[in-house]
Amino acid sequence: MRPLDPRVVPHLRPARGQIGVVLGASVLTAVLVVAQAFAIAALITALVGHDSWRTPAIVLIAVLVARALTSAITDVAAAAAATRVGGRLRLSVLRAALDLDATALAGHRVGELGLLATRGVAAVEPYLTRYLPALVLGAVLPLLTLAAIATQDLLAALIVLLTLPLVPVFAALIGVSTRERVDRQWRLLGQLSGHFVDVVRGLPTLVAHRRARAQSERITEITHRYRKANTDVLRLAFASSAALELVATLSVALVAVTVGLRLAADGLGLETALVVLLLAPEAYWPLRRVGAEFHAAAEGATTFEAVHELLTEAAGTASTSVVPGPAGLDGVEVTWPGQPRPAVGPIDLDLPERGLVVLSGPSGSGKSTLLAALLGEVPVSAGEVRVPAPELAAWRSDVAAVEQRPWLLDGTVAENLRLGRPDAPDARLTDALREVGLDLDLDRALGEDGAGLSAGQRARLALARVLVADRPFVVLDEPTAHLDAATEAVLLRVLTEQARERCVVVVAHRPAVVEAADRLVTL
Amino acid sequence: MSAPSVRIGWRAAGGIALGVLAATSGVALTATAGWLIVRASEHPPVLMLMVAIVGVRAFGLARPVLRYAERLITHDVALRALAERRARVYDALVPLVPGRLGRRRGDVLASVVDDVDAEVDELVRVRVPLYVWLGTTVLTALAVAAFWPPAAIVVLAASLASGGVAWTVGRLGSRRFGPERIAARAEVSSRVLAVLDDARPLVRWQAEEAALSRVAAADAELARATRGAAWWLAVARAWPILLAGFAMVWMAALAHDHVSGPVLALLVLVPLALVDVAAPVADAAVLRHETAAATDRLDAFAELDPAVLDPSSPQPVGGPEIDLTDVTAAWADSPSMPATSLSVSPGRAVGIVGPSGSGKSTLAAVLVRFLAPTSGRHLLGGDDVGRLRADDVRSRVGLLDDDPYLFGTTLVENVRLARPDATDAEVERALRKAHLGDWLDALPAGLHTRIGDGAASVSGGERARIGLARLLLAEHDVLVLDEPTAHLDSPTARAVTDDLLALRDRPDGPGLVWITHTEHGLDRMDDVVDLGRPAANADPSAIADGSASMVR
Repeated sequence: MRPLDPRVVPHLRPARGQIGVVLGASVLTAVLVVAQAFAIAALITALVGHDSWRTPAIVLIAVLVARALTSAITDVAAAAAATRVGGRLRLSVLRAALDLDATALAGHRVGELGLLATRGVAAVEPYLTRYLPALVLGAVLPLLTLAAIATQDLLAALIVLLTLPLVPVFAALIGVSTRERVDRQWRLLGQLSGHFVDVVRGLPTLVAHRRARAQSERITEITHRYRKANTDVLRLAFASSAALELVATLSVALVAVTVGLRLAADGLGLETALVVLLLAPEAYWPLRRVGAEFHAAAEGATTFEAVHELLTEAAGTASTSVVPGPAGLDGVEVTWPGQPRPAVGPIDLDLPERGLVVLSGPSGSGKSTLLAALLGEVPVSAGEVRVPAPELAAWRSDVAAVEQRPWLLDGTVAENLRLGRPDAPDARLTDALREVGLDLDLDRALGEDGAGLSAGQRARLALARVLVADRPFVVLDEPTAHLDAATEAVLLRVLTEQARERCVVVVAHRPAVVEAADRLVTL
Repeated sequence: MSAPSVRIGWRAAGGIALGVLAATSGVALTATAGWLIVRASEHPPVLMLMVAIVGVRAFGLARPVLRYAERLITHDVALRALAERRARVYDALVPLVPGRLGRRRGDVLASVVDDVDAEVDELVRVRVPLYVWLGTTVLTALAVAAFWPPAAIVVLAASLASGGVAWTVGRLGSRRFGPERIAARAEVSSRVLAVLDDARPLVRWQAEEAALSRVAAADAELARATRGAAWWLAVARAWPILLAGFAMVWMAALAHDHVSGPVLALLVLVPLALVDVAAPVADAAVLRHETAAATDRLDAFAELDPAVLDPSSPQPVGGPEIDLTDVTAAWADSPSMPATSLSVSPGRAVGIVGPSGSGKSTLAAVLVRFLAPTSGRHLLGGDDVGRLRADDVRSRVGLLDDDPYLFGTTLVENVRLARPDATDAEVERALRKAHLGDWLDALPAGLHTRIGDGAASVSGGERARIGLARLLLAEHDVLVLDEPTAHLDSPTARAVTDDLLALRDRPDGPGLVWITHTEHGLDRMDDVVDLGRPAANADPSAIADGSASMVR
């Protein structure tokens, strides 16, 4: 993987101000680290030479205060950047999920997308707060140090210049020579670490089948195997980081020995020697740190990758094909992915301006699928969906829909009723409730998924919502739930009344609705 | 806050000691190098420098080697603790599942796994840096005392102030913003899941923007808490750097008239080298807050009473007939199920209907002893179930979960867990009876195909039918079927319904409790119990005035 994936850059844009601060502060840190070496060298030289050491002392304190300030500024700006980038990423994931059509959405599980939008996004934080500053330091500090050493002593600069590439070269060599072993161990590790997660998440199933107790010893055993495998992986990782540290230490020692010998032979001044010695290590550690932080940031990088893929997919599916024209279907077929034959169609259908259009047919004949196609929610494999609107979003705002299992918002009754017409006055809401014979307080809060309402109440509330919405098209997938007779009667009455003023398309499960149809489509 | 659960044994202490030696080598490396350069500038005979040169080399080599050993040992100790802690947490969880964990048990269980990991992290990422800082400070102070005793006071005072304040500021910051962050993170998660769960209807009603702005509002809260925490952490991390400059100058001011030039260089460099040891303490302080919160959450489980207690002297199970009279029950986090009565025995089928939230799944949990009734009478084979072992009840009564779990192993093992002594052929028969024959034939390795996490993907419908195959294999007397056809396409749903209903018509066929929100198969039930009396949850008198209605 590259140090900075170009696909990451667009996602960083919302926080470019803060990221600019992080970059600037990191460059400043590099400058201060170099200044610190000069200040310490000046202080020690003055002390040893019994000169006045007041000025170098003040300079040293000032440099370290400045370093502390830049460190704090980097941390705060990076955290602010991380929250901003994270927030935008989260909304992008959700927006993409909403843009996906029904088949594509079913391809991703809700849990998987939820994980990406929560934990995945959280993993971006170390990427921005740790990896990015380390990357800047890794790019700037070695070069700056090298330049600073060169102003003092060219021979030492030459040694640093020749040994500096050893760090990335050794890192690459270690990586290549151990890759196969590391990969094999990671796979093993993945399997073993998955075991505990698996057993704990499946605990309800184990309990139901009376197998829970049997797993306890196995957990200990597998975790010990996990420990052994993990220790093998860590041994390699720690050994390679120790090896890189040794490379750096030996390089610094090489510089120190030449400097020390020339100092003893009077070929070099004390202050110069001190500056070179203090600067030399600063050339090597930033590169090692980039490597270490890269692993910490790997999960964040994966998130950027996954979001990128999701956005690409959503951009591809968002344009479910509808053509402008009088509402209807022309030879429409819907085929599910991986199925040889279409689930429904080909079918032609012209929707009238008003009247009750009933889709009927045996269970599994594709009635609900056809409804989804009409709403542009599933891609059609042949034919065209005509909508009386320039584009899909406008068409959707002309349609009031009731799902087979009426969907209720986690909010008050009034919020649920106003869904299709946010500006409807309270009087309109109470009228609609009266029309469907529902006696509910407008301010009553419904629980998650309408908890506390019966199937009949849910169906009536969804119907009242359609009345409030007052849209030119009504699409209703008739509830299959066990409804009481009174609710069924209300349903039929409201549908036929509505059909006098607008086009009502119903997927029917009950004979009474089929009988009331102005136009019957049998699948 | 709870005490950390990983105790420091000999090995961990040895690891920390190595860490102290490694960090002290780092400090010594910087200090000796300073001594060497200044001494060299005095042009002594080269031999006099050799001791220091050897010292520099030794410290330079020792640091990575010691650090390697320290990391290996402390990680090994932490992983050993993980094995032991996992088993202990698991044992504590078993009696709580699923009755005490409520309906969001999937999330709860997932967070348990993270919490155990976090707790074990505490050794490596909190205590090791903390003790290494303390140990290195003391060791360095002793070493400088050998050159000039008062220097030890400067080292001790500077290093303790540096790491101590970093620790305190880090702790204060996480105490101030930690709980807020955890709560905000949970709120963001729940709003994110709400959007994803309702994606289709939100789009249909153009209500996406309102839902997204709810997520954005929760996100803004999280961002505020995160930035607040970042300020404290930034101060804690910057503090040791800030202090180092003053400590170096203090050391110079005190020592410059008392020691030689090379020793002065050595002493002045020590406070700077100690920054590397004190800085990690700030991060450790913040992490300490998170690991302590994880320990608290895990301890809270240990204190929960099990949902169902096994009697001290259980009776053997008698007959397979179930009798519920006015039974009420409740999950930890939801409204209770209205008083319900039903009877079921082999060969008999009872349908359960009602809207979501009316207690259908609660009833299922009672029947398989995941939950004990809060009132009413629950008999199995004429005995009160309180006198039976829960596992014995479960050997008679089987549950088809609405969300059966697939383990990361082969298909055959996934099904066989329902009856460990079943042969491959019996498992295959159960799978075919569950309408998975075509699917099974198409699998690359048949019964021995790996399924579950990270392996061949299994659709919701196939997962439901694997759950069914488990149930068919286990041969219970009564089957509790919670939405058995919810994830199936219509033709399969009908075929499965027919097969299940046909089961009970056989001479030794099981009894069925059929929980559903659709009409599939309801007309073929002997009884239908409707839990969905509208006012049942809102109006206590409805619960008081008797059992849920019998519709047919």
